[in-house]
Amino acid sequence: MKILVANRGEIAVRILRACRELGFPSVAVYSEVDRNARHVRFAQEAVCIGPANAAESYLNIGAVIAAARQCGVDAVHPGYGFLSENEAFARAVESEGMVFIGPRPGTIGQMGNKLTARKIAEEAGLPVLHSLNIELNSAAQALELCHELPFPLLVKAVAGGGGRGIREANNFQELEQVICTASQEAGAIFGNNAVYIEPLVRSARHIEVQILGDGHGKVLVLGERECSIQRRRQKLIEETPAPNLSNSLRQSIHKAAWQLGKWLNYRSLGTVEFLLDPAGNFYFIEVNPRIQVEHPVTEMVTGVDLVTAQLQLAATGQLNYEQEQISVRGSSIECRIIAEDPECQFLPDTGVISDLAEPQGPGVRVDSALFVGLQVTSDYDSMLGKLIVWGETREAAVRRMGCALQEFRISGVKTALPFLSQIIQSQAFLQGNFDTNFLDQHQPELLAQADKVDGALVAVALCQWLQQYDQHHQAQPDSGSSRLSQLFTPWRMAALQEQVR
Amino acid sequence: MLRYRVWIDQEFYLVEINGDRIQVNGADVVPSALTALNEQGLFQFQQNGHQQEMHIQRESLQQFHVTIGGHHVTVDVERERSNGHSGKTRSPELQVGEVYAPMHAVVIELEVKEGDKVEEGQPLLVLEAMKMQMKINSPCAAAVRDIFFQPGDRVEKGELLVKLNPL
Repeated sequence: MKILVANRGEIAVRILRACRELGFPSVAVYSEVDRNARHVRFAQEAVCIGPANAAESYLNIGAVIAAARQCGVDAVHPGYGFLSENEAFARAVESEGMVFIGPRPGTIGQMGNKLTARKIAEEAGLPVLHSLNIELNSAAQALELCHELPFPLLVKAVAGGGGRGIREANNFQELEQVICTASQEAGAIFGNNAVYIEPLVRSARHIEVQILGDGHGKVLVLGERECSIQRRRQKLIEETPAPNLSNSLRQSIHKAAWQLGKWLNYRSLGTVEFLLDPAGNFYFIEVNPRIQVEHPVTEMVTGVDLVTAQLQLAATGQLNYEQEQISVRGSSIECRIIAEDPECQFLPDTGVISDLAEPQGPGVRVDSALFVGLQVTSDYDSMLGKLIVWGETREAAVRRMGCALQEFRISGVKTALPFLSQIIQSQAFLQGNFDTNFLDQHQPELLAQADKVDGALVAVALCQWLQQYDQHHQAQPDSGSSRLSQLFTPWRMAALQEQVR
Repeated sequence: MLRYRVWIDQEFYLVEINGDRIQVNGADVVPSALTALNEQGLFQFQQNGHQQEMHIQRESLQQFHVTIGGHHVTVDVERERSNGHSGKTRSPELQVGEVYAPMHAVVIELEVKEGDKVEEGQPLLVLEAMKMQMKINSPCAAAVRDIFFQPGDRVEKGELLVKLNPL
């Protein structure tokens, strides 16, 4: 089975690596700025599908299909983001006689409309939040209808997902404004400006369940993931099993996800997302009909390679697992390594990776597409990679994550590494008592506690180096060497220290 | 004696090296022990008994990128000439009334036009990068003098976006 991976970055590397292991020939696609990207080198063949602008390349159905046809592939894996939740793309793949590695296009379409997804979940017997099951196209219409619901409210894009196109409103004035902005944003991001309204659950946790179906009635549950630590409604840290969750509640949530999977006769990987309120009530939010960024934590505790399972299902139509074989051992945590500055409202940073050391050791996994020389541009997502750890207990996993974060060295762009360390080391995180407001509540204190760069120390080290450099160049003006390190071989340093004494 | 003027983020340090004596902002400090680990700017770095790794990347004659303990900072260094003057003068504060692009981005929308009066914190324009929109707000009450970009333009990090006449 020859597979085209219609994605970039770490997830493309992840999928192409699985193709290699299974002996499936593979094709990578890339945009003009990604010519030297790491995923390109993981495939046997690679095809340029257009300019940097994603709309003209990674989101361009025609270009991806043309590449698939040109290379004669048997199947297409969409990864996450880009075209992964695009029903038209899945249909286009199938109409070429190729396998779409994911749910049936019909399922993607149903889950893509958040109101339809809610209705189906309700029919399947899942608890959903009481809301207006109406697509709103104007603020006036909303104001007429929303007196049925108490504030605070959330305005969400009907075609939304992944935490985008969501706005909060605390009163009528805000609602009017928020509907306009949310609607505009939805139109710009998802190409559909319809929005709907649901109550905002305060202090809710975000818990999601990994399902895997064969499309012939078999649906497996591979545990849940706790994803409450978010910035701008984007996940930052995920873990499994969810801490502080009673076994009965855990089983109820798993059962609900399984019920929906059965109802949909689900094929391939999917994630059923729930809100859990402080009283222990949980509500269906949405289904992500694709592989998730945070899938590795599930792999770490179950030992199931989710991508391999997906590829084998696509190749043979069968899943090699039974529910009884799935068990969870230990605890796993993932940190998203983002090129953003938490001290500056998570402002993304760009640059060239000039040095890199990824952490190692037992129970440590790094999924990234980083290499020294990589140009981090503003064209795509700011996630550079993911650090995942496993431990026999949650405490062990937290300690291991703390050490692994310290070991991670990325030069060339600002990253959230110091801030992630601070979160992982905090009592609040260790206790596992958190909800989606964690960062809003704790960010100021975490940033205040975060170890700052010792500016004086850096200044002294740099000036000492410069002094040596200048002396060297005065002595040998024509040497032409600008290598920093030649001046600081160990013996030179010893000599310098000798002088200092 | 050698004097260096160093800026790290918004902080300023005056480093004086006089033989084996090193002072920062007038206070004596212990010299750091650097050992090069490779030819690519990676150093082992010892201070107060702690071993750390430090990466130095020279960006230009006076600008460096330094990575230490997960932090990545840009450092500007000027060496003061023997006559006591630095090559170029630069105040530690940014020029009032100049608004720079905080990152490489695309201009999405202008919220003001030249000649407009703006309040402190009022949005001047909207940038987008990495799927995120950000408003660039006025640092002070001012009149908008020049706007250097149009919607759709790409801007580099540190480029001058707007010039203001503070009121």
